[in-house]
Amino acid sequence: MTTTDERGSPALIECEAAARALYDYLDGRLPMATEASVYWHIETCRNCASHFAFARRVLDLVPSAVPLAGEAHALRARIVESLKVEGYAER
Amino acid sequence: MTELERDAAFDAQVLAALPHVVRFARALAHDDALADDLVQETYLRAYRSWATFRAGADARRWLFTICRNVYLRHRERESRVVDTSGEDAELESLAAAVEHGQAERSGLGDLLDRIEVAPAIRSALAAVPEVYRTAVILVDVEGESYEAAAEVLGVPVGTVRSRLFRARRLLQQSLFKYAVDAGIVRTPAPPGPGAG
Ligand SMILES: [Zn+2]
Repeated sequence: MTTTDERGSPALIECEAAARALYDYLDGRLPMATEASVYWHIETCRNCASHFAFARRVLDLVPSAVPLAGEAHALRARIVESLKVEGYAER
Repeated sequence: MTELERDAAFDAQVLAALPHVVRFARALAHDDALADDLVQETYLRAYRSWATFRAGADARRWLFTICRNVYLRHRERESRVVDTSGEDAELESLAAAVEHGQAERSGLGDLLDRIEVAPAIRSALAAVPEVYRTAVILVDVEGESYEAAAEVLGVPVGTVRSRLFRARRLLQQSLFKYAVDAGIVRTPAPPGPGAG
């Protein structure tokens, strides 16, 4: 595991460690010291910076690619009908 | 609480979540007609057990849990769920990094600016097994925490994490493949001249 060195600055990590930490980093789930190490790695490593940026963009694009279903009027009506049988009183 | 008040609360908290439940069910079932059936069954069960719902709990999360149980029951006799909790999600990430480097060298660079991303993501999600798709929908689309997703799916947080990692990796991979199929990138980069 990555830790800080004696001087308290983030330890240097390799591309492999950065890749392993990719999604934990993007999701903000890393301990602070590890997060700092990953941050400094991608600041100084072009390949990893590019990979992280790409992964970040894909994650950002996912929600708009799967939009909400809209009002689903027909289905809602169907559901309400089936609930009425159970005693539901539509307002 | 009167019956009328009970039903009003059901409207405000449960029926109001319908678009989210529909989206979730469609991601699970991958068949809109089946998804609608799942949603209807979900609401029926939710209504019957509405009295047990704790005030202040997250109704949407509760509905996702019911919906997934309905779905699992539905496909009980189909292929069993692939449990990937034992797999090394971190190694997957490593492979993704290597692939990313290769793809970039073969002209990937601005891939996301050059393809229609939304359809590419939808078809990529359609292609991955349901357990991965569900993790992505809960965390990346609905914005649930790993912990909340674990609660909905009834698995440990570590399993959510590894499913999510793998799903995202498969998603990246599919985007590359989509770009290759669309003739946007060549992989691997062919050596020598005459490639234009
Ligand atoms: Zn690196």
